[in-house]
Amino acid sequence: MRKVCLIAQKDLKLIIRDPIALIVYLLAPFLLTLGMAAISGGFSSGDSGLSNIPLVITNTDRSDLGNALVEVFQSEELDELIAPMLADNFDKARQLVDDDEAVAALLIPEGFSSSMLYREGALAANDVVQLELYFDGDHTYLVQVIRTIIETFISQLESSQSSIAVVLTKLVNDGLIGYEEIPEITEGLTSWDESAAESQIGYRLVVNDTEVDSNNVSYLALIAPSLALMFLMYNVTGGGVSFLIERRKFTLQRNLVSPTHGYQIILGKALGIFLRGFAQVLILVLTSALLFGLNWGNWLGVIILIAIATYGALGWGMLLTSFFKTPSQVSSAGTAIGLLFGMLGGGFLPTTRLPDWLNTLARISPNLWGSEGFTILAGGGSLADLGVILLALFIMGTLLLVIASALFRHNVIQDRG
Amino acid sequence: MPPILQAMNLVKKFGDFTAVDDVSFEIMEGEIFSLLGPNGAGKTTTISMLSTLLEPTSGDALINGYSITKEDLQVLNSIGIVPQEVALYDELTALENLNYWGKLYNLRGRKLSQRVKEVLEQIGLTDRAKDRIKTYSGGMKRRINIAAGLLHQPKLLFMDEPTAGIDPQSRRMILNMVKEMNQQGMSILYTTHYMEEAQELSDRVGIIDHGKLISIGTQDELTQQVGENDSIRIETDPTDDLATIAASLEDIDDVSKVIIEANGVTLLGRNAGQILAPIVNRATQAGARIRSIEVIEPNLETVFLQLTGRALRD
Repeated sequence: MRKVCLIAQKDLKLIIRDPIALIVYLLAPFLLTLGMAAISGGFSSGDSGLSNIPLVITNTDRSDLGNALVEVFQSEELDELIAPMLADNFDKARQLVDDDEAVAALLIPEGFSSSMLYREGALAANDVVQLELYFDGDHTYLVQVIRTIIETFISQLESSQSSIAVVLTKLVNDGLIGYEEIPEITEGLTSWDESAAESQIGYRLVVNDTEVDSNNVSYLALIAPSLALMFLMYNVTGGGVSFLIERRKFTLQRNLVSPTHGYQIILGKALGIFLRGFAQVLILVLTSALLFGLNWGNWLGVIILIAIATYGALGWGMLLTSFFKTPSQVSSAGTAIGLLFGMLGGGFLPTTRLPDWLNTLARISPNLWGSEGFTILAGGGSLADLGVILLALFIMGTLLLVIASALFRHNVIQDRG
Repeated sequence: MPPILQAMNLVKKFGDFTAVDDVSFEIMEGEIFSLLGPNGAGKTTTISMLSTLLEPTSGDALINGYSITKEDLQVLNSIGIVPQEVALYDELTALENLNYWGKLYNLRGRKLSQRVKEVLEQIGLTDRAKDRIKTYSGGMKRRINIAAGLLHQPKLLFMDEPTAGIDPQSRRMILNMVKEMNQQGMSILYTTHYMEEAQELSDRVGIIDHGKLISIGTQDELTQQVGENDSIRIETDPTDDLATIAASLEDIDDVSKVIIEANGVTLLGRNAGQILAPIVNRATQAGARIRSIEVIEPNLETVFLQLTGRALRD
C-alpha cells in the first residue's frame, strides 16, 4: 500500500506543479457551470429546454393562497413549461403519478392559506400546514423545476409584508387573482409581527413522505451536478492519458523495472486519478454551496456520492486508456465518451427528453446515476436513499477496473514497455 | 570470480522479426562488460529482457542466481538500470525524483536521505538538487538519470547508451563515474555504439549485430581476430560512383575487404604503408575525387568491420 500511495502522491504533485492543468481540472468545470447558469438565468421554458411537465394538483385549501398557487401553475407564463391537471383527492393524484401520467402530485392541504398568513398571535413552526409533493423518483430533474416554482412562490410570501404586496401585485398583474380579493388577503397582514416573521419557518415541504429543506433551488442547482460529472469523465480519461504519457517518456518503464508489482503501479496511478477527480467535483460542490448558497443536500451523502461516482467514472477512464496506445487516441475517445455520457447523464438536456431506449442505455454511464443521486440529495434525500445508486456505481467501477487492469497487465505490464 | 549474470540462449521475436537471436554471455563480478553494436543491433532489447521489462521468447538468464523469467522481483532488487532515455519527472526537482525512485527501491528514512546526498555529490549536482529537472541541461539530466539507478547500490548496473547525445564534458564525467563505480566493486553491463567508450571502459566486449552476438572477448582477443589488418578509410566527393571505385580496389594485393560507406570506402588490409600508393592510383583512375585518407590500426571498429562488413556508424 505504501508504494501505491507513493505513486498516487507523485501524480498529484505533478498536477499541482502544472498550473495550466490545475486550472483545467479544477476551475474550468466551475466556471463553465457558473457561466451556463448566468446565461440561462431563470426558469423560462425557452431557456431551460423543459416543456409541458405534467403536474397534478389537489387543492383542498381552496382559499386565497392555495388558489393563487394553482393559478401560478396555470398562468400563461408557465403555459409551455408546466402542464397542470387538477384532481379532487390526493389519492387519485398519486395514482396518476404511479401510472406515469404525471411527474408529480402537489397537495395544497386545507388550512394552508391561513397557516401562511398570520391572523392571531405568533405563528408557531409546528402550526404550519405542509404542502406535499409526491413523485416516483423517475423524474427527479423535472420535480426540481416544480419545487423551484413552489419555493419561489412561498419564499416571496414569507419574506416580508412588502414582498407579499409585490407578489400580490404580480399575481394581480398576471391575472391570477382579482383586485377584489386583495383586501381579504391584506387584512391578515395588518397584525404581522415582523420579528416573528423573520424567525419563523413559513412552510414545510414534504416529498414522498420525507420532510425536506425549503432552500431555494436554482437553475445552477439543476445543471451543476450533471456538468460536474461530465467534467469528471474528462478528468479521469485525462488521468488515464498520464499512463500513456509516462510510457512515452519512459518513466513508466522505469517504474516497472523497480522492485514494484505491476498491480501496485496500476493501483497507484488509479488512486491518483481518483483523488484528482474527487477533488475536482468536491471543489465545484463546495464553492457553489459557499458562494451561491446552492443546496446539495446531506453532506455525508454528497461526499460519499462524489467518491463512488468518481470510482465509477474512474473505471471508464482506465478502461479507455487500457484499449488505446497513444495519448491522442485516448483524448479523442475520452472527449467522445465524455460528451456522450454527459448527454446521457443530463448534462445538456433533461434525460426525460431522451427516447426510452437511450434512457435505458444511459444506465451504463456514471453520469446518469450520479445526477440522480445528487438530485435525490438536493431534494432532501439521505444516504439511505442512495442505496441502489451507490451499489450500481460501485459495481460499475469495480467491473470496469478489473477489466482495465487485466488489459493493462496484458498490453502494458506483460510487454512492459 | 563467479558470474553475476549468465544469459543463456536469449531470443526475442516481435512477430516475424527476431530482435535478439540466441544470445549467450556471462558477466563476472566486478567486471565491466560492453555490448558494442550499431543502432538497432539488439542491445536495448537484450537489456530489456535482462531487466524483466520484456519477456524472452525463449531462453533465460540468471542474475545474482535468480532467473529473469521466474524470479523477477529478486532480479530487480539485484540490479540498477540507467535507461537510454532520460526517464525522470520534469516537473519534480532532482531531490524529489531521487526520493521517489529511492522509495520504489524500498529505501526509507535516514538511509534514503544519506544515499540521495551521496549520489548527488557523486554526480556533482548537490547545489542544483532543489531545481526542477526541466531546468537542467541535457548532460545534467543524464547524470541524474544515472544517479537514480545507483541509489540502492545494486550489485549489477545496466547502462544503456548513457552518453547518447550529450556534450563532451558530460560524457567525460559519465565515463569517469562508470570507472569509479566499478572500482567500488559494482559490475556493469554497458551498451554503446561508440567504439572508443567500449575500448576505454570494458574488461570484455560482446559485439552484437542484427540480434546476434557475433564475437566476445577482451579487446586483445578481439583485435587478434583481425590479425594485422589495418583499416584504410577514403573519403571521396559525395557525387562519386562508389561502386566503381570499390570494384577497382578489390584485387589489390593485401586488401582483404572493401566496404562502401556513406561518404567513401573503407578497406581492410595488411601493410597499409605499402599499399597506400596503389590504392590512391586505382581510386583516382576509377573517378574518385579523394578528400582524405585515414589509416587506422586494428581496434574494435576494425573488428566490427571485419566481422560484419559494415561500419559501426552505419
